Amino acid sequence: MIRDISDIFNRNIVTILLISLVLVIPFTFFIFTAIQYFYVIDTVEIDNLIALFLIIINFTALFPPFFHLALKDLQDHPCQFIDLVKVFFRNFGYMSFITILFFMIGALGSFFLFIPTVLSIIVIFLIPLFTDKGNIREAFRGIWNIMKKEHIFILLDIFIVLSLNLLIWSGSLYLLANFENNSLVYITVRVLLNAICLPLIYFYLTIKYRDDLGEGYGK
Amino acid sequence: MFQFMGLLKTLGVVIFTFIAASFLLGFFNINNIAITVTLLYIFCYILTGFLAPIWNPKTPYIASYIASLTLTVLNLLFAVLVLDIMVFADPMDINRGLARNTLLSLFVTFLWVKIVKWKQGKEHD
Repeated sequence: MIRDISDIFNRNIVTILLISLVLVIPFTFFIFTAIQYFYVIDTVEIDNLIALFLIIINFTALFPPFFHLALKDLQDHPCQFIDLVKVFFRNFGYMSFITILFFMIGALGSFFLFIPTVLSIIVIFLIPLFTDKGNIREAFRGIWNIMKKEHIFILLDIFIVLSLNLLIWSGSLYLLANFENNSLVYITVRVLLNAICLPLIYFYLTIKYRDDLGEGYGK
Repeated sequence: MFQFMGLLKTLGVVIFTFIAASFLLGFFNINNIAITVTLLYIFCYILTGFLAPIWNPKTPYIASYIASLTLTVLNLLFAVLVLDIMVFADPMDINRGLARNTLLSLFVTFLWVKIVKWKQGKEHD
């Protein structure tokens, strides 16, 4: 599986770098400065929840371009850069809708989160794996099929993603520990880390869960 | 047939434009808040009326109406929950906002549908 991910990465390295420069870095920069803004203003009482929501939407809204790239690569079609930007803007609404819905379920009904199945349902719905279907019923049906097949082992994947993030994040903070830093430095480090490790995570999730695409992938 | 995915696409693009345009307008340092907000809202609701029939060609008017209604309610909720402005204290204000926004979107949709029909008629001749 790691070989497949590195294959996709090697074949499309220029496109991935362009996407990182045009979409990932400005979007993540904006999200983290927005978190800083929400911490500073006085009127918001639930600033931690808003920060969590913005971090989640940072992860989910950047999924479709890389997903589209992996989709085209697994089907041996050429992929143009401008298509990926269009895919980002086209799927932003779907992603915001799903994220707001399940964030509301998570934030308001937090007693649900003691049930592992509900937790894995929320997690797998937050990863927009079926956005190429063009119909919301088809997308939900595909995600539900994955849910029936994998069940709580989805949480293991999320554990992998979170611990990868935490490892790289703590390592980079260890490098910066001796300097006098302000929050802009941390934001910049976080942005660069997102540009490096988000494509790998997205390709991993795509190959893991969309086994109807190419032959021999994900095994 | 009304397509929910098309509505979501419209909403996403317009919300993204809202965020990006308000962020960029902040750099111009215009001190008059009314002018800034009016410019932003007129631009975004015109965009709603323009984009809704593109992704919902069968039912353009209801798509435009629902999209601009949802956007208005989201704006009100954001003002209450995040910026702590008491907008729900004045019902007439909410009424005016809803009527103005949906009317603007519906009018632009009407013009756009007429233009598309006129273009298609021209191609057939």
